[in-house]
Amino acid sequence: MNTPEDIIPIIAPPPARPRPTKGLYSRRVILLASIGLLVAAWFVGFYTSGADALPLVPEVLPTAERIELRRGLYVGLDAGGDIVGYAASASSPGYSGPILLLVGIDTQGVIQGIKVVEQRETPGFFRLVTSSRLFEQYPGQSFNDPLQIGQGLDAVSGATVSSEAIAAAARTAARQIAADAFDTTLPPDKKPIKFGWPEIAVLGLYATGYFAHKLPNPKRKKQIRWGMMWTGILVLGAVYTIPLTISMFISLISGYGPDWHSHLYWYFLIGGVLFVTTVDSKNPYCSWFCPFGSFQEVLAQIGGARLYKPRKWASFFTWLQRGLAFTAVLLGLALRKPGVVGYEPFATLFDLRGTTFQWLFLGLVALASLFMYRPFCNYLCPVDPVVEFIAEVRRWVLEALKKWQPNRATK
Amino acid sequence: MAAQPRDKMKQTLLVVYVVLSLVFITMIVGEGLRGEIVSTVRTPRPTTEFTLPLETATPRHQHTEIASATPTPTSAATATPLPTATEELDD
Repeated sequence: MNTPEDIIPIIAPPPARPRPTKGLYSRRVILLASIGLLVAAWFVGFYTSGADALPLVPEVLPTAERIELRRGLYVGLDAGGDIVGYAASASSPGYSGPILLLVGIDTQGVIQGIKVVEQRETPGFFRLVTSSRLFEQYPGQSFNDPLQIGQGLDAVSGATVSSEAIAAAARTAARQIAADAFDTTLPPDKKPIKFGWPEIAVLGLYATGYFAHKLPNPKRKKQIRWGMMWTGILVLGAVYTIPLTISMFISLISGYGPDWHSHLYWYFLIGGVLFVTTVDSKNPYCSWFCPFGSFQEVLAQIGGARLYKPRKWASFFTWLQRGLAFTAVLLGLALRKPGVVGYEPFATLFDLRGTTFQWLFLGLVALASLFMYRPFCNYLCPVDPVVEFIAEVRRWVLEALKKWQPNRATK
Repeated sequence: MAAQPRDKMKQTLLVVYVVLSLVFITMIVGEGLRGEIVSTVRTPRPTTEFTLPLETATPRHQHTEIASATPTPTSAATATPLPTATEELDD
């Protein structure tokens, strides 16, 4: 995590010193071992994930006595062998991964029921979906109906992305049934690209952060930084609730990003960190406009908190933070549940929703922020070690390129 | 020397903060994981009779289990195994 010292610009930079090579070998060994473990976790997750939709078919075709599978379609039959309906499963990207949905339609083309077979959303958010009446809106709709949020279907407040993903999966499944069972081709699903204020805000904040941290005037830099921090709290935090989380990195590596047509900001947010960290190893997100970091900094101003990291324990705390982040990523990849392993209290603060432990954790961090400078960022946040990891890989690649280029020139 | 007790207190507070945070993080992640397990265990057992599939053209994750009419390791832990062809003939 950046310390206040990082924020104060260095007007006359000291002469460049060669990078210390002490511990370099062990760092590289740890880096390689980490990459190896992450790759292994990815494969474990890939080969063990999956869900069986078949046991749930009777729930979406309640009148069926028997189920047969024909051309990828579940066909419900009554006791006499007559077809009573069809079911199909389809998936659509939710916030932390695909939502696999099963849809049952009777012989008149009317939806009988829908059921989520598998999902990877953040538990707190998906609980809103399961405790709502979202699923009750589907039975009675025809496969000819739009099945769109805002057109006969309402989203669950606080879980809009999951609601939209369920609707999109229902449309896909209904189209499959219409085509295979009713020989009806429905118009293709339109996916307009949404580019609005969230995208503009994220791009604007990254651009400002990238250029502003190079400003020579410390006073101006401080003013801009505070402006950006408040923008982060209000826009990314309170209005849109779109902070960068460890779940996003896990989703990206797992190939579970949300639909880019409607969630460009998601890609801008994570892409911005990856791009800026790769380009010049400076990450403006954490210290300039992370909503939760900014919240802690506001509390630090109120309580007069200062950075406290005892020198003798610094290494231990750094590795503890890295260990936490690494465990979260490893678990998320192996279980293919990015939403489950995220422990950041962003949503509890900005969405005012959480379990008892999430509220207790938020309270603890808020209290500590009055006395310690950014206690979550400096000791626990998993995003910083991820960024550090990328920066270390970048350094290694650059060093390798440097070594390789002179050799190449002499040949 | 006067700063030492103050420093000691700061260190104690830091340790308390980190330990409590680790406890809460473990509980938060544990709750999430437990929630997942509970929700999948509750997947209702099929009561309907199933026949053998005629054709399989389903996505990757469904392909194996439906084609062989036996659950994957994931589904085995969460749902009751489906009747196999032999069991059905016996019935």
